[in-house]
Amino acid sequence: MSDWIDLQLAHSLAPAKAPAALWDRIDAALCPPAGTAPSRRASFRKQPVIAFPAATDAPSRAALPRALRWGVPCAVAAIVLLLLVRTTALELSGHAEFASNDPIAVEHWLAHEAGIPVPLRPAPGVRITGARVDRPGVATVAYVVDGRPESITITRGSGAAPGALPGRSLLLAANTSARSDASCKLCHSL
Amino acid sequence: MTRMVLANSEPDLIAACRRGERDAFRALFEAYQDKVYSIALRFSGDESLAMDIAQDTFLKLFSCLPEFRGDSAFSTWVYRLVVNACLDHKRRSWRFAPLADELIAVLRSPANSLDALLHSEMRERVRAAVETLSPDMRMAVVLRYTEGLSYEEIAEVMGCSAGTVASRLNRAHKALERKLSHV
Repeated sequence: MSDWIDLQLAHSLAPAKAPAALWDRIDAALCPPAGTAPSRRASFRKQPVIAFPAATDAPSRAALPRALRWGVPCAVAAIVLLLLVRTTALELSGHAEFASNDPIAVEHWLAHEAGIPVPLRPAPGVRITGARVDRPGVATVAYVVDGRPESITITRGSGAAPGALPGRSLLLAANTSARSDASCKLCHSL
Repeated sequence: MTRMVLANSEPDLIAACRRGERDAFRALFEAYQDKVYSIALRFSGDESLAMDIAQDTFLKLFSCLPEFRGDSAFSTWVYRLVVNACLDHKRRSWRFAPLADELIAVLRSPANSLDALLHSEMRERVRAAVETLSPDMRMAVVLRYTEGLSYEEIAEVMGCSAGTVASRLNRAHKALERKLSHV
């Protein structure tokens, strides 16, 4: 039986050839097609719209235990209300946004949505809250440091602060002055 | 472990990638694309999911290349990336249409002989049985039978001892024997 299993496994799990489309997908993720018109002007504001996931996350965390004390119907109503507020904010902002505390999930989302391969990693004292695509090739990552929502805008280009990806220089504009090293920790061990 | 045969030597290619030479990226991709995709496909059992995993693996590979210090073979490092990507996807997703791609491929096949269908059904059953294994056991099976790695090589990739690999493969064999005994 064991030899038979060996044979069947070798046959059934034989190597496969990668589809030709795989490189196209990777190439597109590394380099989005040029000439795509930006949907909106990139915003490098001091208080970016991306701060809203953190803003809506915090009340939701505070409101839910209270709502649960009021009873299940109130809790459900509170959740629906928070989702509506959040969805409306998303629609009004007009940007593709992604709220998550998982650096890997945000990294994958940025690579897929903005074509910006930013090697995000968990960092002590810095909590990622989400990301937003401002326009093709320009994105903003939101994070919380010392309980304060901050963000960093990332785009391709060459400049004083090249990113870690070989062959791809990333321009970084931290929308903060308080803890500039915190934004570095998003990608680098300090 | 089977090494890639590259036009340039692997260290030269890696150095060229670090310098941002686009041709080097492509050469590295060409060298590893089938291995990465095969592991992703045999682990996930789904072509579109395998594409996602392979894409994530290569994006991670290109972005983390400066962190590769050469402590292990480059191929081992690549295997680790794809294994982590597979396990990461497994944690985050469910599969709703198992083995549909295989079924469609059989139905589209011009030579729908009885023999081909029987062979295809057997492959289907074996793959379905493999999919019921735990992620760690399944990955050990895929690295063993898709890539032909030794127990020691699998242990290095998965970050465990060769004894653990032997135990996982032994348990996988027994589980598969039980599941496929009626075939």
